[in-house]
Amino acid sequence: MTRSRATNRWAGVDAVAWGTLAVGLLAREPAVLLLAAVGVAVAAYARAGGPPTPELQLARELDDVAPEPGDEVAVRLTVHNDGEQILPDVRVVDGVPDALAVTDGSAHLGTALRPGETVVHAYAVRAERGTHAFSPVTIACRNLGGAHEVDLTETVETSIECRPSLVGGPEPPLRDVVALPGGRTPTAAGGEGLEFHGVREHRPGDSARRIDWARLARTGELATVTHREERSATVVLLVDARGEAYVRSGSAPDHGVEWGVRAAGSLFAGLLEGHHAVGLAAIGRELAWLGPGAGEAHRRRGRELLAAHPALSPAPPSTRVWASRRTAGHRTRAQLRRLGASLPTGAQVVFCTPLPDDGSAAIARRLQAGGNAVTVVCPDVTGGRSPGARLERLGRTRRIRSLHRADVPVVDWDPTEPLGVALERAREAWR
Amino acid sequence: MSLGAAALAGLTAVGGFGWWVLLSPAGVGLLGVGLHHGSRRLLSAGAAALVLASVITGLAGGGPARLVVAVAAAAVAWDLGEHAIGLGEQLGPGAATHRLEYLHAATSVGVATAATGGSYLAFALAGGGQPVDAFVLLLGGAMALLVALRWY
Repeated sequence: MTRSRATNRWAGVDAVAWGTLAVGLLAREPAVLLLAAVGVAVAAYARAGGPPTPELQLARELDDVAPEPGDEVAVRLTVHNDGEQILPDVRVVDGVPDALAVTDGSAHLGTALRPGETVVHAYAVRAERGTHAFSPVTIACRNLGGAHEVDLTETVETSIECRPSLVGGPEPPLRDVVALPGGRTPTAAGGEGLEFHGVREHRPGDSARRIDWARLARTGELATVTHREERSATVVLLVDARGEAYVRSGSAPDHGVEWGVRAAGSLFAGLLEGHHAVGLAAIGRELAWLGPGAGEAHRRRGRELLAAHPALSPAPPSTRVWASRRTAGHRTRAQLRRLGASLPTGAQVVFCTPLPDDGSAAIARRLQAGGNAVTVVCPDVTGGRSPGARLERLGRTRRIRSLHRADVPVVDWDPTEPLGVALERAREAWR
Repeated sequence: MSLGAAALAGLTAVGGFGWWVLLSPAGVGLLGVGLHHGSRRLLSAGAAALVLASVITGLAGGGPARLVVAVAAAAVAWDLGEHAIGLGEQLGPGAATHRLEYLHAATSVGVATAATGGSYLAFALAGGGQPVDAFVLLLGGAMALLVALRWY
């Protein structure tokens, strides 16, 4: 779409030229007439040339079309003058997708192009989870005097697909459950397994491999070393994607839902590798649900859900003026009911939430009361020294304590360190 | 923006000392403030003040060569300043516009120099020093032509 307009930049130059000429005539002063001549020359320059007819060819190149969330992607925009006119004034605004922030350089360019000349402009954007398509490029071309401008838009189809890759994650400290044998959850019950549990008196029939030889050598007694029983668990990772969870500390690039998704992704991968049955869910603008399963196809489905489900969109839900908190509360309760109905009996829930409000703690308690053991993974997105930030920190600590009182273990995770470190620390604390 | 300021500096050196001495520095000041705040109105006011100062100096009998340069420099300063303000509005402060600005500055200065030289040459050829009717007619005719061209 091309549009030509007059910029009216030189409005008033004529008046100045006429005025000076008149003054010079009236005063019969040759110097002033000379000044009027300069004015006339400027007025002539203002009229020189008509609107340009730009023929431009654009191309865009990304150095990584499938980056990880948070990566910097270099973008190279190429502008080529296809026509035979010199374009002395070309202004280009690249259509960076709304969700992506420009981190290096600027997406705006001002340049001049001779016929057949090409200019390459480079800048970088930060990738966010999801699929982002570039908008059309806006271009404005002016003639030499700047009196005429031609605006046009060009569409260059490019898109960035950013899916978190779920490989190699830590396992959360799972609570004691009895489920299908074959997986590797350490339970409190002692029996067959790999991890050391305790020593008991030797009974006839105990495997000779498990005799505690050190004790035999020392005291002459036969004793059997028991290990923790390893069982497979059913876990559902629930991400808090309500509007309230889209909080971030100050100007940090990631908000609570983004950290929740990363935690869920890591745990999903880790639990799959531990041969557990894992599922994914999210409450928020929609209920997202992937029932517990295992295997490569299941991993792909989980990855797809975390990357592209609308409930987990990186942008917070638009707050409609007429939507009251009560309506949101209704929706959350309805989603929890459906979630409760879908959860298999005995399934554990790992709730990934920044605990932004009392509602999140209530959700955790409610799920636990419904018969599913709940663990909360809470990324700390409070930061800053303002009174508001301090209030948020206090609220979060209060909620964590209230959950402890309700027998819901909470993993307090500082996002600057890897999740595995926080989990290991929590595991130690609960031993 | 820096280019507009450079033209400004060139102007201060030439701004005449007529009776309304204060008009010239005031014009420079207005230009500077207009550039800083991105206000076209202030910018134009500054340029107009400088032109007016030159005219008044001319009426008081100042040397024509110096005054011509003053007016040309005022025009260049205004042009570069308005261009910079426009770029700031359309592209924002962080944009990469070096190529464009340098070309524009070079063009403006080139045109201004040519205009100054051409005018002075015409003036000298017309018997410089006396208000010559031919010169006046030439100017008047040129202006009329330009005005007519506006409606082509």
